[in-house]
This record gives sequence, C-alpha cells and structure tokens, in this order.
Amino acid sequence: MTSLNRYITRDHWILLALTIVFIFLPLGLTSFQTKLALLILYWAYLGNSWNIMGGYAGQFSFGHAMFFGIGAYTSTVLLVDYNVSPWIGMLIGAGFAAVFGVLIGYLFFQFGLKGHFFALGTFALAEMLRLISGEMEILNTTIGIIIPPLPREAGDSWWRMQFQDTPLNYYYIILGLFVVGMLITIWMANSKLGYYLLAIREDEDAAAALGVNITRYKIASVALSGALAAVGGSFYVQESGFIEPAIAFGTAISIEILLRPIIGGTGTIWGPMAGALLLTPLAEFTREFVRTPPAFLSFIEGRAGIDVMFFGLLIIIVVIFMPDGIVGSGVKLWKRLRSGGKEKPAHKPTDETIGSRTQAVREEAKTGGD
Amino acid sequence: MSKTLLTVNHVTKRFGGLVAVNDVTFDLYRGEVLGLIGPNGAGKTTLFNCISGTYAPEEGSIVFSGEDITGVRPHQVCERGLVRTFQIVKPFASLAVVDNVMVGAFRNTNRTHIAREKAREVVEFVGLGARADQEAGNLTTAGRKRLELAKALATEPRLMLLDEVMAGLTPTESTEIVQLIRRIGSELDITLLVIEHVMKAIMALSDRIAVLHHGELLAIDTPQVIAGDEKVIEAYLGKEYAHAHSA
Repeated sequence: MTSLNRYITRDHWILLALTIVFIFLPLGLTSFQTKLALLILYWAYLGNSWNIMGGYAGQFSFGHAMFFGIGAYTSTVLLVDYNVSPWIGMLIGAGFAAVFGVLIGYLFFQFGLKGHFFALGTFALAEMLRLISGEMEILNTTIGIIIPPLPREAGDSWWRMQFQDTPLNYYYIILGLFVVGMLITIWMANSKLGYYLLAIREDEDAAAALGVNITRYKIASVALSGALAAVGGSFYVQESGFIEPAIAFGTAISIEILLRPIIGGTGTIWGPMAGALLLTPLAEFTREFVRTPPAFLSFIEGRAGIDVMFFGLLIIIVVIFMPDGIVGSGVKLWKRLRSGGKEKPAHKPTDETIGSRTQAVREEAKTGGD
Repeated sequence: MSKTLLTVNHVTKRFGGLVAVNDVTFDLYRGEVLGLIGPNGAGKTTLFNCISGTYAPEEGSIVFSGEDITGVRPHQVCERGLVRTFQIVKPFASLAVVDNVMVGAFRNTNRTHIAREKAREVVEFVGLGARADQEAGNLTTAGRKRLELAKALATEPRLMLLDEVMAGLTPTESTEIVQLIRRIGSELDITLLVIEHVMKAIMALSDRIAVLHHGELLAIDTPQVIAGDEKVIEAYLGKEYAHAHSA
C-alpha cells in the first residue's frame, strides 16, 4: 500500500465520478430538470449532514431544522442588515450552529437523554426556536425576511450570492457544497472519530470500556452535523430569496432532512445520496401526477395530500423490504451473492456444536455456574 | 517500581439496603494471574464494576499503579491502562472484526493505518485472523469471546479484568481460551484479574485465588490452599469437590 492509497479511498473515486457527472449534467437538461438535479444535490447535502449525527453516531435528530434555521437566519440577517456576504454569513452560521450543538449536546448527553427521548428533545428544541424566532423583531417576527433583489441592471453578484442572469450558478454552488460535505464525511468515516461514533452507536458501555469518551464524541458529532446543516440553511435562503420561522425551524424541514438518509441507508457514506436520488424525483413526479392525473384518475386532481400518501406508501415498502436502507441492504445482498451462498452463516450452529454446547451447559451445571 | 499494581482498599458498594461488596481489601501484584471466585451474587461483577469505573464505591479506595482511581470514569480508567471485558460480550455487531478491534487500538494512536496494523496483529494473536473481515455479529460464541479479548488487548493495557470469558463455551473451546489467557499473561506481560465459574480452568490458570462470599473476601491464597480451605469448601465448592481432591 503506497502512502497515497492510505488517504484516497474507493469512496473518493465514487465522489469524483459523481462530481464529473453532475458538472456536465445541466448541459443536456431543461431548466425544470436542472432544478430537480439541484434539489437532489441539496437534499443529499442536508441528508449527509444529518447522517453524521443520526446515522454514524446513532443520535436520532428529529429536529435538525434548528441547525438549518440558525444557518438560514444568520446569513440572512448579516446580509440584509449588515451587508455581509452570505459566503461569510454561511461560515458564521455554521459556527453558531456548532456552538449551539455543543450546548444542547452537553445538556442532553450529560443528563443521559437517549433514544426516543433524545429524538423528542431535539424536536422540542426546534419547535421552541420556531416560536422564539416568530417573536424576534430582528428576524421580522413571523412575517419573515425577503432578500432584497438586486436592481435589474446589476446582474449577477457572487459577493451577495444572487444570480438573476445565470441561476445555474446556484446549481454549481450546491454541487460544491455537496462535494465538500462528502469529503468531510469520507474523512470522518476513515478516522478515529468515525470509528468511535460507530462504536458508540453499537454499544456505549463497550465503547467507554475501550477508552472512548462517549459524551465528548457524541457532542462532536452534533456540532459537526449541525454546522453542515446550517450551511444548507444559508444556501436555501439565497436560492429561494425568503425565510420565515415556519420554513426555517418547521417540522417539515426536520422530516425532509432525515427521510433521505433513512431510506438510503443510515450510517453509510452514500445512503443520503441514494435516498435523494430516489425520493426527490419521486416527490416531484407524484406532485405533478396529482396536479394533472390521467383521465381515469381525474378525481384525484389537485387533491392535497395524495402525493404525500404515495410518498408514505413508498417509505413503508422500503422499510419492509430494505430495513437497512437502499445502500445498506444493497451491500448485504452483494456480499451474499458474491459468497454464492457457499458460506454457511456462522451464527447458525451445526449439529456438532449443539451437541458439545449441551455438554458445556451440563459441565457448567455441575460446577455451579450461572 | 513497586510490586503491587492494584490495591483494593476497604471497598464497599451498596444498592439500597443490599451490601453487594463489603469492605473488600486485597493487593494485585505485577505479572500475576489472580482468580476471583464465589457463588452467584457474591459481588464479583460488582467489584469489577467498581474497579473499572462503572460504579463509584461508597467507601474505600482503588489504587492503580500508585494512582487513586476511585470513582474515575470508565474511559479514563482505560486510558490509564486498565481494561475490562464483559460477561455478556459486547461486540460492535455490524462492524467487521478488525474494525471492532481498531476501536481499542485507537487508544494509543490517532492514525487510522497504525490502528489497523495493530488491530490485525491482535486479531492474529487471538486466533481470529481468518475472520478478520467478517461482520462481528456473525461470529460463533467462542469467536465473540476471542473478539472481546482482542478489543481489550488492542488498548495495550497493563491490567486486564476478565469477566467469565469461559461461560457458555464447550470444554475444548474453554481449554483453548485458557491457553490464550496464559499467553496474554506470559507473552504480553499483562497482569490479569479473572472472574471464572469453571473451577478446573481457574485452578489451573491462577497464581492466587480470591474467594468472595456475600460480598466479603473469604480467603485469598494459592489454588492448593484455597482448595483445602474449610471455609471456602463450605461456602462455595461443596463437600463433593473437597472429597474428590482429598482422595
């Protein structure tokens, strides 16, 4: 193994291939399709941020909107009130989100909030931020903030991240953010941090016994995950031009963020992308389908909620048939196919071991074992 | 360098009204294998938990390598070179065997490739080399026990606490594990405190044996003396065993 091989993994090559595809993709796409590709990258990016904390560390965040919203509002207020570039605002927002993550992580983990209660805690925090932000004058309360459009003749501004002549630039920005996010995750997965997070997810007591400071590493995962999500929030406002509390800290965004990594495979590097590739077009198509259904289904036309029903159905199917998500179940299937069924599953005891094991039990009973 | 590696000094641990460990005192010497035996509920695992930092004892102190580690948290105890295994093994089930062991190996390095090399070495040492890349959840019971040892070994400890490594194993598997534990003591120069129920194994393995009964230390001596000790026979081994040995 050369020293370079040590740092360049198979996942780096997959990322390179994906990046090349996405760079040239818009050349052959309509503007609607390009917007779809942008959304895929956007959700893959946000899903990846959630995956660090929810997937690798196993700390299920049901309120990731809190980080998203912190990022969205930070860069917006800095741009609108202080004329600070969103590029800088993004980083400051990420910093705020990381600090916030350390704070809530410390409180939650120090007091042993786990599993369902941790998820509920994150949900409650996001809701709290939604209500508080609706009261804050500096955030223009529940009315929200519009990013003032540049005058027509001003054209594009990279400094203000506003593009009216070439909206395609947003696509390349989110592509860039996605690549950076993935590089961070790939680095993490191959580092001490990644191994420690997986160990914590699998068994906290065992991890602690091997010298893992579980509280510290869980907090680190929340901070990293939150910082990345915040950058996604900043991007969202720049691209859409508007933010209000229900968008920034709402339940909808929290759920959308975690859907893709869960469907794609939590705790896998490519799970969020796989989920985004499947769900994002599907969401668009079901929405479109319900808007203009074929003649024999005309009764569903324009009925709110039907597309969400399709969505729900798909999630149920995935959960039943692919409990480890697309990537997780795919890898398992691939391993099984490759071993050609020759390898006997080791945990199924053979007759021989059953025989000797009963003997062992008898032996133990004799010696007074428990 | 003092001969004593670990001192358990008048340690008492209560759960409500129940005194699980009652005023236990003993020294563990560098390089020895000390067996810890006693009937169910004698407080063996509770004592382990006090030493490894899972519980803080109500009274008494634990001194490891000249440093008071009473009430120090588990990961900090491990950082000082004292590592424990669990009676109910705790593999990181969805990770490969070598990745499991790497978690332990990261105690001494931040570099992934160094941790991986160390882990492969340890996996070979415990005899899981052929299964290094398998998912840990697919191992047999014996394999999981070896993995439990490997994870702990990878932290490069000075003292290992082994909690019933042989429980649930066949006699053949037990014999192999005994040999492995011997090699851990002799080749790797690691001091061992071993809880075990399989009498034959613990008698053969230990330099000295400590007997716990109702949370109290009944006796601590060489296996030969322990096997002939009246109190111990009455409390734990039973008349049948005593008879077999005197015959």
